[in-house]
Amino acid sequence: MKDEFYIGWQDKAPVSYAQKIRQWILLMIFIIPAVSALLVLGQRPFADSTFEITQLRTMEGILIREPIPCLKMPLGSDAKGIQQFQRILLIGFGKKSAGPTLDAIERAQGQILNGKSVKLAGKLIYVDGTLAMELTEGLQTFKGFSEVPDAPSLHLSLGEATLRGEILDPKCYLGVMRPGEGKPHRSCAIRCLEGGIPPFFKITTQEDARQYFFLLDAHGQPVHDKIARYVADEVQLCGAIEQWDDWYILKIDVSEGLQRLRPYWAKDQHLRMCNN
Amino acid sequence: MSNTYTTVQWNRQKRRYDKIMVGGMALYLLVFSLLQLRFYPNVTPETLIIRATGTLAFLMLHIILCIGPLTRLNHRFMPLLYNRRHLGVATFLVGATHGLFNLVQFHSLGYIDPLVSLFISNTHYLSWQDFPFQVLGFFALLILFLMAATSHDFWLKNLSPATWKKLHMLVYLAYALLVLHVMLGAVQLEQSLSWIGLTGAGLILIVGLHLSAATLEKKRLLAQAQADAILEGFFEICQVEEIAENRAKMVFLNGENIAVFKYKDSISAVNNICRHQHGPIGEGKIIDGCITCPWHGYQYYPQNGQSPPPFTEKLETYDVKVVNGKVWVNPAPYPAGTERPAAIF
Repeated sequence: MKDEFYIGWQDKAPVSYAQKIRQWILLMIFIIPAVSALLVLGQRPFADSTFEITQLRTMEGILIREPIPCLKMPLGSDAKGIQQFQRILLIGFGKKSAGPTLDAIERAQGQILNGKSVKLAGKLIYVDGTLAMELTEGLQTFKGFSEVPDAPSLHLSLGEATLRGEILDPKCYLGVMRPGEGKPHRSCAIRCLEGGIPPFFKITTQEDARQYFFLLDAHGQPVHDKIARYVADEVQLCGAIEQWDDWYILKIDVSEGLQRLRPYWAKDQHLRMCNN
Repeated sequence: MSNTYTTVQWNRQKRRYDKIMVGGMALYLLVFSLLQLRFYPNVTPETLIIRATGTLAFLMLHIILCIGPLTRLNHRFMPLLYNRRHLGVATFLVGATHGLFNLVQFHSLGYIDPLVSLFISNTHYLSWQDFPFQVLGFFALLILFLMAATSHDFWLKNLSPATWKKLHMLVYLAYALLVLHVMLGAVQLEQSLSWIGLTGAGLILIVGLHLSAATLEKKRLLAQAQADAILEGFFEICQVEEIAENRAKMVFLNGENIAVFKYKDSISAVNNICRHQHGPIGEGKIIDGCITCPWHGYQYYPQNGQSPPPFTEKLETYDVKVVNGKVWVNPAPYPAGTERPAAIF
């Protein structure tokens, strides 16, 4: 048998070495696409959400600053002649609330814009009919206002409920990130909520339909900084459900009405329900 | 080998090695991206980059960790080892891309520094299930950075081979951190059989190859331990015929790792650890009168363990006897580079 010896700085590897490496390369040509395919096909599908990152839109509606900043846009009247509205959540650039941008606009305009009909430019983010707009243009976000009077909104109390689902930051979940939920996204969601973006609660019904709620405390005040640590966990919330136009609001007592379903076996535990 | 420092000492085999490496990386990224866009067209570019680079870096680290034991089990894999440091640097760069995109995606544009956010956003440090897995990835990347930054021979020389080797053994810690990073992050999210299966298969492959290589080495050492006849401090090693011409037999005697070479009717013994990257000199061959290390071709004279001028590396030498066709070695080492007469048979 020929005594071959490999030295890297020689021009050519001995025949038996070269053959072995050729076999290795052929194996890799098979393994690399196979691993790649298994990993891609093993992923969970992404939400069918949209972030219009390259498209700037101008939307007009009544500006509501508190407790959840939004534009209330008229949709027309229903069969009974009652005015219907769609609310668009307003969010600042990055992991921040719309507050600083709206404050700067009001300072520049020298007046309070809350309750006025304003035109704002931004980028739309949406899934399942729930919309948000990222105010990316600073003072250029503001495109004017008018003194159109605010029409009355639908405001219903729907009673108390105990719900299980995941607390999310709406900006990422509605479309900026895919996936915008789950453990890998937890840190980002915490940054968003601590940046003032209102928390969002997703439940999945028995029919596999998704239902969303904005969260406020029992007094109707923002709750983002109090529950940021619960994001991306499966939680049980007890609270009062209200409907504000096309939004559902869940008002919770953070100290009483919020339970983390962790560790995983706690999901099957009998947990205290609301009013029990 | 070289007696001066250059950025990369390119030669034909290194160029081919790098071309094949870059080709393999491109193939992975291409297949991953095309399949992703075909089956999940609404993936965001950031998610695509994060997933493609993260999985590629992890795959490359598996290949790197397989190379060592593979060459122990079959020396014909030696060409994979020759330029392994380029594979290591490339793995760090791919991993750094993954880490950077994650830092920007998940931690930037908030009210606190992204690096601070990495450590204080998810604070479930006492929970096994909810542990902040991104922190594990950060420390693994830090290790890969240290290895990539010190991969040049300048650092090998200045840190000393022993320190350099210890630093680079941290790759196993980096791998362990990355297995946890993947299991507590992506695998926990996807909960798919293929992600769990591939991570598990990778772990079994790495552990299995290392155990196989260690078992082989242990057998060799046990066989050697039986050669315990002592003659004035000399140990009987083997028959002269058992050593192939221009090759060596490796022995452990009194804690000394010794390579006993046979060449031109002579026997010489030198320390078995190459001064470059601690490669096994005894698996090398005498070429042009010099012992040549199988890992990177570093060379030494068999009679004195010195590298041919102008190189300065030196190995310890040992006394050797041939009595009645049997080779005897005294494991008391002479200072590196000491000339000792070869045993003539």
